[in-house]
Amino acid sequence: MKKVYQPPMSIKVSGTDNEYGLAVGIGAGAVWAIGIGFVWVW
Amino acid sequence: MIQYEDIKENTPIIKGRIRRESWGGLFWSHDITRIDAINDVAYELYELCDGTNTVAQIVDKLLEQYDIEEDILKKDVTEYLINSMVGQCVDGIDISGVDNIKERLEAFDKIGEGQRKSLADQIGMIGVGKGSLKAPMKVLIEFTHNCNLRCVHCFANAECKVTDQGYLEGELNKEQWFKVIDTICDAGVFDVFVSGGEPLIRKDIFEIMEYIHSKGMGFCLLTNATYINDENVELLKKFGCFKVEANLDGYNAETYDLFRGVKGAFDASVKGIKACLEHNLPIRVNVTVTTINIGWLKEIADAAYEIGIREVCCVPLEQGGRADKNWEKLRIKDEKSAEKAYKEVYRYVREKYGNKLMFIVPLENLEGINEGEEPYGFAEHWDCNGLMPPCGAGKYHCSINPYGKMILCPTAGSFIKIEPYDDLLTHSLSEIWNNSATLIDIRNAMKPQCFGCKHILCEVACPVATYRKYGKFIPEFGEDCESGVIRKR
Repeated sequence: MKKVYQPPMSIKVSGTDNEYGLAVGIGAGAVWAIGIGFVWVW
Repeated sequence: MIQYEDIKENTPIIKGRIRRESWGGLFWSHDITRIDAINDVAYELYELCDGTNTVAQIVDKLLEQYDIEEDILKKDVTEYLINSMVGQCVDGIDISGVDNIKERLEAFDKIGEGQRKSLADQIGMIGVGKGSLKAPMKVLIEFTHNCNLRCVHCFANAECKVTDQGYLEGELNKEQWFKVIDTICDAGVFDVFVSGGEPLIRKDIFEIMEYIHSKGMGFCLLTNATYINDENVELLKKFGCFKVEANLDGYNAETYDLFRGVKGAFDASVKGIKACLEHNLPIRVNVTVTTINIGWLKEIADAAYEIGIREVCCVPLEQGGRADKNWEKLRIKDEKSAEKAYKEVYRYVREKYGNKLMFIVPLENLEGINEGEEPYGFAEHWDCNGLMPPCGAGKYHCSINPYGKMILCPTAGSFIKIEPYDDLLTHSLSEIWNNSATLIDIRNAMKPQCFGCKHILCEVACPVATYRKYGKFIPEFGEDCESGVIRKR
């Protein structure tokens, strides 16, 4: 039996350029990972 | 406008990794700094983008799986692959005829409110409830609590001992770490954060890094940088280190060494940082802000720039270890003055260095920083679709202590024990992640009000702060929460 179809969809949940347009390495997440609770340093 | 016929012979290749989840899947790439939640069809499509299928073959294979008309599928697949190519998630699609790249990129980055609401109804927050993950996205490992420095604010209370192997008695040996890394890899974790204490103090750390690399995972190294040199920096790159995070709590030997508790620490750290810069290994420095250095932030920014650093992040002091002992001396009590200092240094850096130095300050927004400018909200910026919980501990990341026990995060340490079992030598990571009553409690503590909340400094955002204050993960929510007032940590 075939599966129900939905158009393919991606939703960005994290990662961005910073306000200067420079790519921010995902290693930035480490600070967040060690518990300061800031999703923005992802 | 590009049609299916134009790209049907193209062979797309995915540029990141994907992982199946009950509600769809995840796309992950640290090359482009991006994590996407993807639906079931997107997952199947990306899985076929392995360099062996043309677009036409992908459409045929999806047609076998899904109840959909061929023409609609062709159009959807074409659109999705073009957008994925524009967003650099796939390669191999000819988009030379696409003229609205900027609009496509914006739409690919930020979904509309209708789409967001639909997703909110379907899965809610990523890592919580229906949106729960089968495994963490990333895991931080404290490979030792030994360290060569004596930082006044060390929440791990790292020791400073000379031992044969570099690590302390009772901490896992190399073979035991291999076993832990196996279970992390088997669970589907994307990346590891190699941490300590000071991880490079272990004599076997490069063998461990090589093992992480052999398992297909990358890692970010959290270090004081004093052990990094021209030789081992190349090894770090070879073994998949994609970023180094060091520290710069002072701006010269006198101010930095005061913080780090060891004479010569500044010179050694700067030497290591420069080795990373000279060998093109991305590096950022963190500044733990305390009463001691909040007045030095401009000098620290200047020193960082002079060294060649282009990314600085100010982080608040965390409780635990030596930070607790020095808490009253180090903690910034006057929040208004701190906010003023952060805004001043932010403005200073922006005016002096423009886009040449990224300087992150721990504020929820920079409202009023420059007259006439739009308020700059960090939550919107770093999680533009508002789908992630403010803290991912127990929801999409976790940590492991030097004894191979899962912990919520390094600041939680032994203060919050993962029940009923936490030992990664006797239980798989998946088993602990999916069955732990503690982790389930933490996930359940997130309320509907938290979904998309911009108050990332709210106490409820941090399970450790909540637990310290209330002795439980689920505090009573008052009216203030519904009206958007921050509950101060």
